[in-house]
Amino acid sequence: MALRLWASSTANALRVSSSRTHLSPALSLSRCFSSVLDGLKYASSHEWVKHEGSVATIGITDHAQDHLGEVVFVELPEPGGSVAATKGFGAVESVKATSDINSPISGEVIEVNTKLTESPGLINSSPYEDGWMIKIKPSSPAELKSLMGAKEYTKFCEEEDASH
Amino acid sequence: MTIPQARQLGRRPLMNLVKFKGTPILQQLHLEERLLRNSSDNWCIINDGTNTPAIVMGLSGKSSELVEIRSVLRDQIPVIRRFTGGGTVIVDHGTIFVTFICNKEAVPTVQPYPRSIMHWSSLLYNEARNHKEFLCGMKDYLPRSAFINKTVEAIENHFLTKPVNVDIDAVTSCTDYMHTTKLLSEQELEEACARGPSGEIPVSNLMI
Repeated sequence: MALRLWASSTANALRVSSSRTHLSPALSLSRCFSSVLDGLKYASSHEWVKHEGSVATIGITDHAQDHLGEVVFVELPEPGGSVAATKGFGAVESVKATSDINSPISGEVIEVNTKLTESPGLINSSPYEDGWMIKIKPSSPAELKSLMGAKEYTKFCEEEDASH
Repeated sequence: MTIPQARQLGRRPLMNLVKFKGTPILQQLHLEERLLRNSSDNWCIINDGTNTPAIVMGLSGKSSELVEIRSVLRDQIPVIRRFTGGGTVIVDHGTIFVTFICNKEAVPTVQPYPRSIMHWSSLLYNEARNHKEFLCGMKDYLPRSAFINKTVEAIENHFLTKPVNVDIDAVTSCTDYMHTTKLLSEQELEEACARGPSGEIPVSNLMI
């Protein structure tokens, strides 16, 4: 997510209702009520990575989708392109804002979740499963070591929410 | 996480303040997109009206779904798709535009998400309006110039403002940057109209 900069060109007191993701026994429940999956790695910009062999799957976390609100559009790269760690590879538009999506690690895009074109709401309803965004072939697997684990990310979210 | 470039004096972060009057909304959006992507400073842009009425859609806006295309083409109303998200708005000389482009750390109590940002900005505008209900006929309470001045005063409660003169024609005429914000051409609108909301060209319109 593009957290370094934000832009607002409206002034509106509308409240966006938050969504609660259905929890399964495999999920860790954080005190902020956003789910965090064990076994994934997390970026401070709220993307997750699932590394399985030579493929890494990337999406945004439950914390991110909850704070964004209803997702109405997702802009993703084409297969064959490359992504770089901490750099933007797409954007997700919610009802009131667009946020850049940053890749946690570098690599070549080998698959894109085309279901998100017709059903961008999958990111809200299933951020870790049906709402996955891209699959890449990592070029520097060592970059995973700099990412957070589930417990660390949970604590990060709690501290971030508590400070605001 | 990047360290913000904006210098701070005391507790208030620095905010570059740019004021326009009657600047075309397309140019304003081009400037804002450049600043968001290329500057690490904090910016506030205030534009007192745009020179011509226009329809401005969000990033994913589809004109076939959001716009009465035939009427727009007949009346020569510009249709713009902007680089930011959100809904479709109609703007004209009566619109007052206030844009904030800020580093995450500029307002520590605000998270970079829609709800948090909108809540913060609503409080700021309440300072300017001194009025509880945001949705009301502002002209019944404040002249435009007074609202703009009070908005600047409210901003100065949170930021150390630095007036900046921007030659918007010079900045936005540079071709070194590819804008996402674009003015839809007549041809694009015609094609969207032919496709309709389904996005498919009717069989009768196909050249067979």
